[in-house]
Amino acid sequence: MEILSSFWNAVVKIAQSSGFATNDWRNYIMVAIACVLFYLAIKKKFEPLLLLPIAFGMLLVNLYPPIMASPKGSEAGGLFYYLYLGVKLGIYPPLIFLGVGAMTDFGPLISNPKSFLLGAAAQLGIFITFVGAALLGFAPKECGSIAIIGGADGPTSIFVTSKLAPKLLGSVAIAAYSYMALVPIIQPPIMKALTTKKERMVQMEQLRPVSKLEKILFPIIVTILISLLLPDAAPLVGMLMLGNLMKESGVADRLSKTAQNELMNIITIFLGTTVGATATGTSFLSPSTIKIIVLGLFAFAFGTAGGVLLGKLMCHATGYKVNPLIGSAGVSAVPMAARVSQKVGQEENPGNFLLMHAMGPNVAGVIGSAVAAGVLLNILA
Amino acid sequence: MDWQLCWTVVITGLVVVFVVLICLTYIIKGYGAIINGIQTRHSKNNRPDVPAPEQKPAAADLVPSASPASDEGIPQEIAAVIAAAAVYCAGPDAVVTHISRAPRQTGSAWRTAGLLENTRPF
Repeated sequence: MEILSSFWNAVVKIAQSSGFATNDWRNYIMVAIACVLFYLAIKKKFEPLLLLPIAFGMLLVNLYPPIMASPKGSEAGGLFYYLYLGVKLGIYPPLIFLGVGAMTDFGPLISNPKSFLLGAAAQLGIFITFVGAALLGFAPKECGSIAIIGGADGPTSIFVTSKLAPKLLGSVAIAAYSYMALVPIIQPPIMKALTTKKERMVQMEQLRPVSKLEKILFPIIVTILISLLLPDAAPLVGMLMLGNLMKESGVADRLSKTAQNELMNIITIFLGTTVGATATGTSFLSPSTIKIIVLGLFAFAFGTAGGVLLGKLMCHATGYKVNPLIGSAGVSAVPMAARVSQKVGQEENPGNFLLMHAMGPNVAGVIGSAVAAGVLLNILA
Repeated sequence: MDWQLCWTVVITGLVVVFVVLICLTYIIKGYGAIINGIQTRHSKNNRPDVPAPEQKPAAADLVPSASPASDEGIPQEIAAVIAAAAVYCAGPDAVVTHISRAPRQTGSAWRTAGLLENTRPF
């Protein structure tokens, strides 16, 4: 009889400590949202490399919240708490930028430096969204975190949000990556609405070849200039340029390969899961998340419009030598946004190849959003 | 919301982003022009003084009339590409008489690729 009683007590104890007894109803809604994200990542292939770990982090933290618990006294914290330190301390985003730099070819930008202007114009979305967030009642630091979604750059969004408004990290990261995946759906209607058929059919001259020396000097010059002008952007831009220098110099192939593959993949797993783990039911399911999702869409739309409008201006100023469609690629989201420019351009004129022309504003957008991040951090942090 | 701060962020942000990227545009244009100038001058200086040919041979004249003898299995297109490369490197007088395959490597191609991958950096 005593054995039966202790067996019952053990069963009750297990039941009381199980997720069914301890979890809130909001956790189960988050589990459902994680499943939707799994569907988008696996079935629809929307940014699966990031959405999959984000969704799994979200799933795990809502089933077992102590995985994100901070240490108490002699008790150690949860696994994700320690992994999350890389986000909290601003370590992962610059390391992701190291890999991005090692994979990026700045050749199209160097051969057509005017692309920088399109990369700058596409940052318009960030600053218009800042005003929008302020109108919706967010605090200045939160406005900065939400606005940076318009940079269409995941690591930059995470970097800025982790410093300005860490509690919004889950919502901001999910909005940023979801919209980046939806670039082929969001951008074309805006591009078509703001341009005429004649403008979309403009064929651009072939880009000049860029020498190796120019490619090697580029990351060094950009690092010096931006680190001196905007020290807050130095971690992001510096690591981006270090990765690029390792690639272009040709003397550090092993390092470049590691940055592009192993390091990038490891950091992506840590970053994705821990960012997803910040989206707990209590923090994520709030009216502010819906506002962030809506503002994120505005940010992308205005960024695209800014780039296309400046492209239109350049098109007329140069006598139809610039196709305004390449302006939309200024919103970063490398290389998806450049592919969209190519696709929309080719729909009008099958003989038009805009991809390499669009890569210029695309990589300029990465630098532009890092500069905008530096400005936001400088003023708001 | 502090609207003064809001507009400060918007105006400063837009101005700084544009100014920094415009600066980069001019710097890259400038050093691109300098490097191209130096490299063009350098390549001109290194080019040997060759007297101008009296008459430029037509492209068709450069192509050997008869295809070079080649091993079985080498397509004519490949032979033509090799012949063109030889003419480009060695001048219009070069004549490719025979093309043959290099002796096969011992061991599988995968093995060789693996070996190269692991030893190349050292």
